[in-house]
This record gives sequence, C-alpha cells and structure tokens, in this order.
Amino acid sequence: MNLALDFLSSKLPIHGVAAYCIRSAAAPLASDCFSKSLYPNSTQDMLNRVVEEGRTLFPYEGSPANYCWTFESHQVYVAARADGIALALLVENNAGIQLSRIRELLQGFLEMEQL
Amino acid sequence: MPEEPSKRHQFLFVDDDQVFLLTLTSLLKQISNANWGFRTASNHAQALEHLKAQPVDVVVLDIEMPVMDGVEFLRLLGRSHPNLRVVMLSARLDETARKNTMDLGAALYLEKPTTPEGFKAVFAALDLLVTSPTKSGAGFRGVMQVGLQDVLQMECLSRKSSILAVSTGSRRGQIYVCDGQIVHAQSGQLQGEMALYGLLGLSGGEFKLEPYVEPPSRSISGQYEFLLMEAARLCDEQNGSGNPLGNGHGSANALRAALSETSTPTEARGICIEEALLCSSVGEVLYQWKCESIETRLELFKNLERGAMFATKGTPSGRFHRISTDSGNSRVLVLIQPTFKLLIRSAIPAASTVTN
Repeated sequence: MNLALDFLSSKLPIHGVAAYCIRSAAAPLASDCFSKSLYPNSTQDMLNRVVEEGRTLFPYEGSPANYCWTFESHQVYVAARADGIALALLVENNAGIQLSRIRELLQGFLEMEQL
Repeated sequence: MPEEPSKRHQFLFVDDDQVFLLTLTSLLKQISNANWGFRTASNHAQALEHLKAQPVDVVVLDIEMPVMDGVEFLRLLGRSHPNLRVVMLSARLDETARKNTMDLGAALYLEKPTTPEGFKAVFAALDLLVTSPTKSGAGFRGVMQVGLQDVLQMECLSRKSSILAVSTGSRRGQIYVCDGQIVHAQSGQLQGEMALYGLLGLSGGEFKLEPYVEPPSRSISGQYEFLLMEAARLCDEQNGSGNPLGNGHGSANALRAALSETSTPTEARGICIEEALLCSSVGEVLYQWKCESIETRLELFKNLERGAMFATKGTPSGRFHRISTDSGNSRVLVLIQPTFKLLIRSAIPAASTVTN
C-alpha cells in the first residue's frame, strides 16, 4: 500500500480532484479529502459506496476496469484493478480540471505491479 | 506597486478600493503560480502613468470610480491605446452597462469577485483572454482561432446574453446563452444537450456571436460548467475511442439522427456497437438494437438509479446523469435522464485503452 500512496502523492494535487479513496474488495484502505467545501467522512463514505455499486452493477471479475460516474456537481472516476483494489477520485465540475493528468493517474494505478 | 516585467502576462488593475486591489492581485498571483505580473492604480491618472512607463497585456477597470469612472476611462483608452485589451469589473451586473462597455471595445464585462470561486472565475476569464489572439490581430470574436468551448465559456463567465451561430459544411446550429447560462441549442433536427454536444464536438468551421433573442423554447438547463465539461469529455471520447454515441442525449429520433449524422461509420473506426436500448422514463422501449434481454436491462436502469442515489446519500452530488465503464475491449455507457434512459454496449479495439 505504501507504493500506491507514494504513487498518489507523486501525482497529486491535480486541479479538480477533491478527494480520493483506495479500497480493497472488503474494506477501505486509505483516503483523503482536499476540498474544504466537502465533509471528509461523508465524502469517503460516498466514494466507497460508489466503488461498491459499480462493482455490483458492472462486475468485471479478474479484469481491470474503469468506471466514470457523472453527477450534477461532480464525477467519480474509479480504476478497479484485477486484484480487487480500486482507486476512486472525486472530481469537481469546473472548466479547469486536468483530465489528462487524471487519466494518467488512473492508468498508472491500474498498471502498478505491486501496491 | 513593483513592476514585474519578466512575468509572462502583464496586467494593470485600476480601482479606487485599495483593499480590493491587494486581495485581487495576491489571489491572482497565487492562482497563476506567480506567472502573471501585476501593477495597480487607484485612478485614471496613475493608470496612464503606468501605461506610459511600460505596456501591459490587459487593463482591468472597475466601473464605479470617482472623478473619471471606468466607462469614461475605457472611452479614453479606446482613443489613446486602441490595441489595448480592457476588461471591465462591476459590483452589479447590468445589461445596459455591459452593452455600452462592449460597444466601446471592452473585451469582457465581469462581475467583481467577492468569493474564492469568483476570483477563480475572473482568473479563468483573464487567462482565456491573454491566451487568445490580440486585439490588434485577427480578433477573438468570429474567427475559428479559439475553440467554440472557449468562446462559450467566456460568454458564460461574463454572464452575457448572445447566440453563438455555428456553421461547418452542411451543418449549422445555434447555441443560446442567456445571462451566462446555456439555455438552448439546435442543430438540424436536434435540440437540447444533444445538439449542444454535437456542435461543440465540431473540429472546424465558422462561428459568430449574434445578439440574443429568446429561442422558441428553452431546451437546456443546468450549470454551464457541467455542460461544457460534459461536452469536453464526449469530444474526448469521440477522439479517443470513436464512439459516436457518447453524445446520445435525446429521443429515439435523436438517437437515430446521431447515428445518421455520424460522418464515419463506427465500424470503420474499429468500434462495434453490440447493443443499444433507449426507453422512456417509465420503461417503455422506444428503440432497441440487438438487446438480448430487455428485462435485464430495465432492471439495470432501476438498480443503477437506486445505487447512485444510495451511494451519494448525504452528499451534495446532485442528480445522477450517466455512467460509463470499460474493461478490456468491452464498454458500456448508460445515460439516465429525466425523460429517457439509454444503454449502449460496444466492443472497442484492444489498442484503444479507455479511461473515461
């Protein structure tokens, strides 16, 4: 998990990313919230639930998958690895977000050999 | 105020409110990562001295100033520095003042910021302005030297009312902006978000800004930031994966229209639509293509809405719009709109890894 956190800290902050969480198939592993306008606990709960709902509704067992949930106020990007560990990013809706860096981060997370 | 000639863009802010000037420049300095240089003046005389000493890229003028107000000073600058770009700031937005100042040559008319979001919006508008062609060059308006999205964002940020008329080859359309909100779009037979996304996805052509008139109906609601982001994402998807159904908002006719308006066949770009289902908000099937189990798909719509609501309980997420997923060479896109629900499943080439 340290490798994953090191990887994240090397990529963050990214403009527009308000929070993230990493969770295994069974439990949350790490999370952080960067936005002062969000409640950290409810945001982390939300990200965890979004990851779980995505897995339930669109199961891709044994394969890495990407999910993008779009809500009125934000998007949630999820990169789910084949080993069951998923990274979720809460991204604000604003014109200046850095989508290419977000994609790079998600792809990098999926491609990491070890976390 | 020390001059910073080495900075990439130079601004001169003119306002009689010293506290505001200090706040504005320190915040913009921070947001611009110290890439912008600032000078400040509390009246027109000081401003002219600054301009005489060294040129700037943009002058930002407060409208409400004693002795010579911002509008008068704008008029003066129009004569003395005709190629200078001037942005007007006003504590209260007024359509007449906006029109007057734009007629006098102002590049933008913006609300004076009072919140962090407001300062960010001013930064975004100024950033777009300084990265667009200069006033003395081809001009910002009417020439396809900036993206449609940029122009639209400028119109929205400065809370204008206008019609962006777009034409390219056989395609024509209009985007209606009223008080900074996108309220309507039409392109051929398409209306609403689908037309908007289609127009914003165009890669070339011409556009011009026309005076605002109320459209026959308002087909778009929601924040312009969301709409523009959505358009950018769909555009990106089209460029990246070639999925023409990324912009599948609308009725069954709209879906068919989208399919028929796509210039390149999906198969030709390596995308193969494997399944499509469009139904009304109450589950009435309006259109389906190779959908093996409609019951299962309707159940998926229901579970997805329920799941999204459950997942975002207690958060300010707002309405759920869509989900897209991809794994390997399979991709699913589901749109949940107040009037319809749409599912597209497609196979994508192994080479085009998609992170939506």
